[in-house]
Amino acid sequence: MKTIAYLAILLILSSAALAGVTNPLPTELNLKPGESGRFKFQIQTVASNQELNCRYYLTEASVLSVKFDPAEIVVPAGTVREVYGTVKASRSLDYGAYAEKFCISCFPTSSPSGAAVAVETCDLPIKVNVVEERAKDNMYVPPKPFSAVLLLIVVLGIVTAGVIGYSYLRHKKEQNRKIVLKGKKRR
Amino acid sequence: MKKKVLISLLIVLVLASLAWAETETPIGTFTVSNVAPEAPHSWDPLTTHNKSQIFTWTEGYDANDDPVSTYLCITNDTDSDTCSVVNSGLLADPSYAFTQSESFWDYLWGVASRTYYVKLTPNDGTVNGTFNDTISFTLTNALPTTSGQTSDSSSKGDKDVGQEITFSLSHHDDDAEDLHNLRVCKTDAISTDGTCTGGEYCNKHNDTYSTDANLECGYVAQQGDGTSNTAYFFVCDCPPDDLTCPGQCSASASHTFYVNHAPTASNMDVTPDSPTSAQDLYCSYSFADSDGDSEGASTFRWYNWSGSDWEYSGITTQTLDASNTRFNEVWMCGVTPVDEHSFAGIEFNSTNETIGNNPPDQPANFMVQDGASSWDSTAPIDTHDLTPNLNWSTSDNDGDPVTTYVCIATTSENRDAGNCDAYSSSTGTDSVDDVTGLAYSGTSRTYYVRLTPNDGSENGTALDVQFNLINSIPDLPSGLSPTDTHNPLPILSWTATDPDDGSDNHWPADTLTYHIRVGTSYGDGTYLSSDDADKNGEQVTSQIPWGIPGEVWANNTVYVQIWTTDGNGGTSDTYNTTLNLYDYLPDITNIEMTDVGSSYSSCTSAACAINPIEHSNASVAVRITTTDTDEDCDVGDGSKTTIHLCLDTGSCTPPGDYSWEVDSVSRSGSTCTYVFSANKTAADGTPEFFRLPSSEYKLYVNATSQAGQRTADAERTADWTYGTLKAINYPSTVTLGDGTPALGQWNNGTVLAAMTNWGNAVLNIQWQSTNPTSGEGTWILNGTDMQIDDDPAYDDETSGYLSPVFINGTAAAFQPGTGLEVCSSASCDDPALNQTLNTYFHISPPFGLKAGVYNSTITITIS
Repeated sequence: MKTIAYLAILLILSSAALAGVTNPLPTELNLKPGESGRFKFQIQTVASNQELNCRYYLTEASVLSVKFDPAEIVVPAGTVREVYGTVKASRSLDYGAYAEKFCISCFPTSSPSGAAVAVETCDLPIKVNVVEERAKDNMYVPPKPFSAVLLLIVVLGIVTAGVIGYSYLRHKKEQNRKIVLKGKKRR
Repeated sequence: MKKKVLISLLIVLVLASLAWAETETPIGTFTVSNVAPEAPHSWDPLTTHNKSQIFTWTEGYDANDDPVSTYLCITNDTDSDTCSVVNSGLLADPSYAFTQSESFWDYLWGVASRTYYVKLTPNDGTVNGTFNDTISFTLTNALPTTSGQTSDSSSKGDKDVGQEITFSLSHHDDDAEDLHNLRVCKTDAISTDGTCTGGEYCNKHNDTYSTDANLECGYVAQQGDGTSNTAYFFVCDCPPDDLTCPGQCSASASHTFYVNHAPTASNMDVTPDSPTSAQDLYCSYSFADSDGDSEGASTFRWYNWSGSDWEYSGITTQTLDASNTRFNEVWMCGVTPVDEHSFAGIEFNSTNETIGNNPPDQPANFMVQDGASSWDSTAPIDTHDLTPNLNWSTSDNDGDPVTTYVCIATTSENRDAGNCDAYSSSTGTDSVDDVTGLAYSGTSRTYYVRLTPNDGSENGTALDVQFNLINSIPDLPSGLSPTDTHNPLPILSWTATDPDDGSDNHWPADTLTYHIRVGTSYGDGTYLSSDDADKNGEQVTSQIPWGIPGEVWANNTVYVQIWTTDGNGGTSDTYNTTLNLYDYLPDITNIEMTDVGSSYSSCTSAACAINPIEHSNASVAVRITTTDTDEDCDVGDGSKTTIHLCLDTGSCTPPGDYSWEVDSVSRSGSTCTYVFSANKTAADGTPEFFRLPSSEYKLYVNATSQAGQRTADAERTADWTYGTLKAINYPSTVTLGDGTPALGQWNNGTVLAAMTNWGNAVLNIQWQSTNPTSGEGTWILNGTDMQIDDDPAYDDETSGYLSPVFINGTAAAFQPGTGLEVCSSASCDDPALNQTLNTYFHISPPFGLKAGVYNSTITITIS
C-alpha cells in the first residue's frame, strides 16, 4: 500500500485552447482535365497560448494530385496562418465530382508535463469538379510563390546561357576573321 | 680895389703891344722885283660821297718865296667859273672844308653823281699867280632801289574801313653806309625833302633814318579810301654827315591795296501795311555796298513801342511771327547790313506799323466723342456717353486766342433764348470734357448746342448744332451654361450683352446688372434669386433636389429666368430656359471579399469567402468596384457604398445580418474602388464563429451617389461563403484520476476538462491515449483501465448522460449523440444544445507500477 501511496499522476490542468482548422476554400474547384487549382485553409491559434507545429496528410490515396505549401507549418500562439495547396486533375480523369479528405495534426512545439492533449482535425474535404467548361471562375487563391532556390537556379541558368552564347559568338567571329586573313594571303 | 688892378693890367697890355710892333719894322730898304706864284695843283679827292668833305691841294712855287694864299672858286654842273658853289677869299692854307652851307653843294636829285668844277688862283700877297681851272671832282650818292612792295590788304575784303593796313617792302643801296626811310605816298610824287607831294599813307621813321633792311608802315583804312587804291613806295637815303637828308629817294614802286567799306540798307519797311495780329511782319530793305560786294548775313532786330521808347524785343528774325504781336501794338524793325566779307554796317531802322484786329471765325468741325477713340461729326451726331466730350475748331484771322461760350439746351427754343438748361461754360481749348447735366430719355434724346466764339475783343459768328444722346436696351440673354449639371449647387453662366458695349456710338459700355431666378417654375426663385448676379458664374444658393433614380441616372429639371438691366432705364426681354440636374448612378462591376484582405476573390464572377475565427468573429475585407460616370465618387459626399451580408441563402435585403459602409474610396477615371479603411473585425460586429457555414449566403451592396442607387443592378447581389471551422476549446493538459491513485483500483477523475465547440461545424470526437510513462516504468493500457466519462465518478452514471468509454491507443468515440453541436451564441451556454462536453479521466493503474509521475498524450480527433 505504501508503494501505491507513492504512485501519482500529474495533476496539472491548463485552460489553453487548441488549434482550429477551417475547411479548404473554395469548397469546390471546377477544373478541366489536366488543370490544377489552388485552395487554402487556415490554422488558428487565436485562443491558444501555445505555439503549434502542424502537419497535414491525406487520409487515403487519391486520384487527385494534392500538394501543400508549405508542407508543414509552425503556428505561433494567437495567430491565424493560411496554408495553400494545389490540386491537379489529371487529363485522364472523367468529368465528375471528386473529393479527397485530409487531416491536420498539431502538437505543441514545447512538451508540457502531465497528460498532454493533442488535436487532430480530420475530414477536411478537397472537392473537385472535373468539368468541360466552367460556368464560373474558381475563387481566387494566390498562386504558389516562386521558390527562392528555384529562382536562383533560373537566374544562374540564364547567366550561364548568356556566357556560353557570348563565348560561342566570339569564337565564331574569330574563326571568320582568320578565314578572311588566310584568303588575303593566298592572293 | 679890383677896379684899380684891372686898369693897370690894361695899360700894361697897351704898352707891350707897342713895343712888339717896333721890332718888326725893316731896317733897310731895297727893291726886288716880285715874281707871281705858280698855279696850284693836286686837288684831292676827286670823288666824294661826304658832304663835309675837306679838300686839299698843293700850292704852286713862288720864286720870292712869298707866302702864297689861294682863291678858291667851285662851280657846279658846268665849268663856267661862276663860283656858284664856293667863291672864297684868300685861303692861307691849301685846304677847304665844306660846311654844307654852300650853295648847290648837294647831290643832284635823281642822279647818282654830280660834277663840280674848281678854279684855284694863287696870290703871293702882291699879285695873283697862275690859276688852275682844270680841276673837277664829283659828289656821288647812289639811288636806293626797292623790291617786294606789298600790303596785307592785297585782296578785296582783306581790310575794312578802320582797320590798319601794313605796307612793306625790301630795299637796296650801293652806298652801304647810308640810312633809309620809307614813304608810302598816295601819288607817284615825292619831294626832295622826302615828303609825299600828293599825300602820304604812312611812312617809316619819317625824318629819321634807320638801318632796317625791310621797311614797313601802317595805315588805318578810311571811309574815303577807294575800294581799290594805289600806294607808291619810296625809299630815301641819308648818307652819313649829310645835314639835309634825304640825299636821294628811290624810284616809286606802286602797289594796289583794297579797302572794304561797310554796306548800307535803304528802303526800310515793315510789311504788310496795316497788319493784324494774325499776320507775320516782314522787315524789308534794299542792300547796297559801295565795293560791289554781295550781301552777307545781315541781322535784324524788332522793336516794340512802349509808349515812350522803342524797346528791343529780343527777336532777331527777319520775319516777326504773328504770335508775338497783339492788337494795337506798334512794331518797327532794324536791319544791320552785312557784306559778303561779314563786314557789318550800321543799323537802319524801318518805318513802323500798328497791329489791327479781326473778329474770330465761326466755329467749325463740331464733334462729339462716341467711342474710345472715335468722334462723331456727321449729322445726326450720336453718342451714348452721358458725360460726353465735345470738340470743335475755332480760328481768328488775327491769331488771337479764342474763347468759346458753350450753351447746351434741351430745346432749340431754349438755346435761342439763351436758356442753357442743360449745360453752359466758357473754354479756350475748343473742347469741353465730361459735359454734365445730360440725361437719357428713351432710346434717344436731342440736345441743342450753340458755340459763340470771342477773341477777347469781340464775338464771332455763333455755330448752332445738335447731337443725340442715345441708349440701347440690353440684348436678350442666352446661352445658359450648364444646362445639364451634376452639381446641385451649380455655378451658372450665360451670355448677356448690350449694344452699348463700348463700340463706336455705343461708348462707353453700360454697366449691366444681371437678374436670375431658378426655381420650380419660370420666375420662381426657390433655388436662386439674385438681382446682382454674375453672368460669368453665379452659384445656385439653395441646393436643387436630386431627381428620382432610374436605371442609369436620376434627373431633375428646374426653371431659369434671366434678364438684364443697363442702369440707364433699359431692360432686356426675359430669357426662359431650363436646367437639368442629373446624377449618373454607380454601376457595380465587381464585389470582392476576403478575410485577411490580401487575396480578394470576386463574389460576382467567382466565389468569395470568409472564414470564422475560433470563438471570435471573422475578419472581413471587401473590395467593391463601381463605375461612376460622374467621376465624383471620391469627392465629398459623392458616393456611399454599403455592403450587407445576410445569413440567408434566399435573398439579402438591407440591412441584412451584417452591414458596413465601405468607407475608403479611390478613383481612376470613372472606376471607383471601395475598401474598408481598416478591415472589419469583432469590434465591428463581423460574423461570429458559431454562424453556420454556407457557400450560398447572400450579400447586397448598396452603392449610391448623390441621388441614390440604380433601380436595378445585376451585380448588386452575390453569394458569399462562410467557411467551415473546426475548433474546440479544451485544456492542453488534463489530470488523470484525482492525483492520488491507488494501484489495482479505480481512481475517479475529479478534475473537469470541459470541451466546447468553438467552431461552426458539428464535431465528431474520438479519443485515444498513449501508454502513461514515467522514468521508472510504463503503464500499458489494456482498454479497461482508463476511462473517459462526463461525470467525476467511475461508478456513478447518474450525473452524466453519456456512458463512459475506455480509451487506450485505439481511437474511441466519446461524444454526445448529436456530436458536439455548434454554439448558438458566443457564450455557448444554450442548455438545449450539446455545445459543451464535460470530461473526466478515471484510471485504474495496475499493480506493479513503480512510484513516479506518469505522462501520456491524449489525442482528440475531431471530424
